[in-house]
Amino acid sequence: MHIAEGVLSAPVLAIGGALAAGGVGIGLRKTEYEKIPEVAVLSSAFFVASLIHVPLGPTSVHLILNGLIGLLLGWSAMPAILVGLALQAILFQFGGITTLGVNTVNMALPAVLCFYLFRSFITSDKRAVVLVAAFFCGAVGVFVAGLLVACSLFFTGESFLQMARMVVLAHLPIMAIEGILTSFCVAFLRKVRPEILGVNK
Amino acid sequence: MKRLIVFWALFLIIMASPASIFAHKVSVFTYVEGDVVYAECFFSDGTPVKNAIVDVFDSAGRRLLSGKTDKNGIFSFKVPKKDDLRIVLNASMGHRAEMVIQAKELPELLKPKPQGRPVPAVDIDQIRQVVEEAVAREVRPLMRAIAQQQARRVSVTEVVGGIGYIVGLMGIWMYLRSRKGRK
Repeated sequence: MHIAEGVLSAPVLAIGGALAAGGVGIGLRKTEYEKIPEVAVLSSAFFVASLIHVPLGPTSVHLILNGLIGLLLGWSAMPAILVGLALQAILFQFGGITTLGVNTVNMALPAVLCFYLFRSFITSDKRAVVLVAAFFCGAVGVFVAGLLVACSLFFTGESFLQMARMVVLAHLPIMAIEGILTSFCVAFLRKVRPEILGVNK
Repeated sequence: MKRLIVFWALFLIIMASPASIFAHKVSVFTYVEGDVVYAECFFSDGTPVKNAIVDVFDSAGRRLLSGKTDKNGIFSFKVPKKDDLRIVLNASMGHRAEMVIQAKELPELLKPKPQGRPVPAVDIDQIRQVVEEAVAREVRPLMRAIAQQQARRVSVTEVVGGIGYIVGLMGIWMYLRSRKGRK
């Protein structure tokens, strides 16, 4: 998922950087003071999650958790993921500093999308609805991120359809794992801290 | 509760499967043996990068040749010319690594023997070549170990350090927000 240095052309990097800056700006402004620790905790979770890997074919995939992060944070997922990615780039050399903008957009934009798509289902009273919505939230986050990665690589000359198919196929197991994981996390939060999900009890 | 246990069990199985952790970055490790260059490509946990495209460029940026790694993640080629060679591994999906072999690390390309002069019984160049090859062969496992160690860069210290940074940033952010709120 992390695109390394030297793969993308300058315009793609610039567009990614600009979009990321805008998104992070919105995220910073929209975050309420009380929510800041939550953003930090999920940023840490994202930072660590990418160390859990599944090797597949010529590449390897890892947990992203962007669906879950988006569901809980909304626009605040932008700064959370930016910080996580920056630290991964500096400490682990995953991705890169120049590709930080593109990588942030690729992973955080699907997170925000997930928020708008699934947030209302999560507050439902029906347990099944909540679990299914959370599962799809986790899976869709990864799926859209994969499409965005394929989109970014498209401009480097790799054929889009082939790339998209490959990225999405490679991430199918991760989509399933993330879906299950997001379901469990949401079920757990509903029980223990429903106010995080915006459920008043 | 039962479901949570199942979840953590699954989680642990995924975590514990060998080669599933810390395998993100790709690395190239090159060595020269005789006039053949070997490029070994592996993920940072040491599993080989199979069927990945490797391109070789000269110092002017021209592509000299390209090929695919075998099932051991190794791609080998004959030295095409004595120049700084840049070996680029492209493992698709944005995974990429490169390594430069400097011209001075490459052996002299075999020159045609001067004719008409009696060839000495022991050719000093031949000895040099044999010694170089032997040393290269002996040193290779060491080089590989060093390269893999360098590649496996994720340590607990870094993970904890990263989380520390995030907590620190949170503090700065909250501080700035609280000052703004007071004004």
